[in-house]
Amino acid sequence: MQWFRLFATGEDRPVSADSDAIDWAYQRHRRDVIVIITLCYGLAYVCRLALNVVKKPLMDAGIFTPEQLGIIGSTLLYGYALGKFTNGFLADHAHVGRFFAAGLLLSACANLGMGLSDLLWLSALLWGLNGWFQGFGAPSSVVSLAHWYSNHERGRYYGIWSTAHSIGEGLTYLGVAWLIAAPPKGLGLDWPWGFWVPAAICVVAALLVLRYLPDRPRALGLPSVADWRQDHSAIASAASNGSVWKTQLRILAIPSIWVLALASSSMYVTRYAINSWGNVYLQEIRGFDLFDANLFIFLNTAAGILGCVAYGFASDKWFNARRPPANLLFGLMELLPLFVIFWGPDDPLILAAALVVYGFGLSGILASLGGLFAIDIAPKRVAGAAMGFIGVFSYVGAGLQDYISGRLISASEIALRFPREGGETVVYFYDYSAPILFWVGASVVSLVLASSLWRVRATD
Amino acid sequence: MQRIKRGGWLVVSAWLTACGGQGESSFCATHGGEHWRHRDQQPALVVDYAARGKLAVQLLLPAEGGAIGSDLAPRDILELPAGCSATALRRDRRDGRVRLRFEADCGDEPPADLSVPLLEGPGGLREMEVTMTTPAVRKHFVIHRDCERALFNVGGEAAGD
Repeated sequence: MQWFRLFATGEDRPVSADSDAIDWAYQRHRRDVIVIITLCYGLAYVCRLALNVVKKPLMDAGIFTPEQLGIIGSTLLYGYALGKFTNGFLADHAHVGRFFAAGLLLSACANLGMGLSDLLWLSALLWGLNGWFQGFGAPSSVVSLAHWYSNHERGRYYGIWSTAHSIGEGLTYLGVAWLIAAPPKGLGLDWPWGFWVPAAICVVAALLVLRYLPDRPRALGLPSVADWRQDHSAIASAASNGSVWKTQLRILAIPSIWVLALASSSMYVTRYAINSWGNVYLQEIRGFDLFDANLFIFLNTAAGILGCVAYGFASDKWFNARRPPANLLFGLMELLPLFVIFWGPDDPLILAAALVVYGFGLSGILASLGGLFAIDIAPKRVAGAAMGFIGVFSYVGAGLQDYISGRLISASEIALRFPREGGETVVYFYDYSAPILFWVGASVVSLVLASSLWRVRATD
Repeated sequence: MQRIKRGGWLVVSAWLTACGGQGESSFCATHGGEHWRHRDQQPALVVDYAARGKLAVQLLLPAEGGAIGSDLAPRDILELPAGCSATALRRDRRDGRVRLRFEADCGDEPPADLSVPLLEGPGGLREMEVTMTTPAVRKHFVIHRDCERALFNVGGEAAGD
């Protein structure tokens, strides 16, 4: 129990009377907070996505079939869904520096184990736990932002922190791919290094977080950030109102929230299908090498940064803050390129352009289905619960997708075996026609569901 | 705190120094890209796996190694499930190489598992270039007795192009 207390946030300390010392401490800690949560949450992503890059080498080596990889991949998403539900509550009571660092260290251990495991049950267990450990990062970062940045500046810093997703995806789809890709494009290391190097990166990130991510200002003898910046909200805190729990339950009675959850879940099917299986498809069917295939996937994630920003701008400015028309626009920008990617001309430039437009549209509509539109529909005081509900739905959808995709790919398997002295070399051939229909179909379903909310208006 | 830091660095160092990969030999890592240098002297297997379980198989042998194929039957080149019927093996010359070919029909149950026994036994081939086309994908690679895995990224056009 003593050990458990190590992770608890400190008691409030008396506030120092020295305003210069307070200013100096605030400036130093605020700089550390934004740098560390952005950098280290980005680095944490490398430990989350490593499996996606080494899927093809694992299949080629005959260690796991696509169905088994689907099972392993889905456990991370279920673990992450569970983490989204539990870790937010824990982070509110934690010393976020220690809590986040523990998540990174445990995630590193899971990745270390993944590099040593060729057992399905062990890999599925480790990757599922990794999903939960990965869920330590976001709530810790958001809690830090809430404690160290005031209401009127938090949006800007939230935007900076959001770039961590792209930093992490870029590092994984380019950096880890570079480690594993055959020379001259990469180092040609064996697949376990695709887990071990991310593990080492997460250990370094954990040490940085442990050293530089501070506890709450009040636990350090500083005033709250609202007091320090004289930036108090006019609205009373939801936590002070006893009916919050009842209001949270009320969101379950709002049909639009269920439709939105299903739409988001369907869109997550396509999102995670492309992120998890896209590079395998590009290698298996389109003949790209590991590095180039991951470079293509990186393009879609990079375009996503602009997509998020553009969605907010377009829905506010062009559609008078109405999300459904913007959803339709960005949904079509997500859906139509899928036809080009899977059934379009066999030209790398056209493929790259289609992936950029797809990533742009996807990020926009995801920002709405899992965030903006949800907040519009839900009572404002329980917007967090609405987002949590949709988030859990989304990641369960993503997890189911990984398993179903793996199973559909495995069902098409043709094995060409070459027995030889001391063993056997096997080359596998897969047909992605069925999974592609599943992935594109999920986007169509999502778009139809999102469009069915055309007349839904924002509530206060 | 210092102990935690020291422990962390120790773990990182241990991974990076002690947990080296068990990669294949450097020959296997590079031979795929260098195979073109001697591909004319190596056998090549071309398998066209059409929809509905129909297969067309060609084994191309270097002219000087033509004797290898003198007593071969289709099952010595590609082992098929019991329900498949194969034509007789035909032999001719193409581009200065000996070509052995046959077709097979597996009816309504296309086989999901095919075996090439050409590398087995003391008299088996040492190396072979393979091209297989299915309705969904075409793969071109080299199989070598000394390499655990198939060697991809083979330079040059696939045999049968």
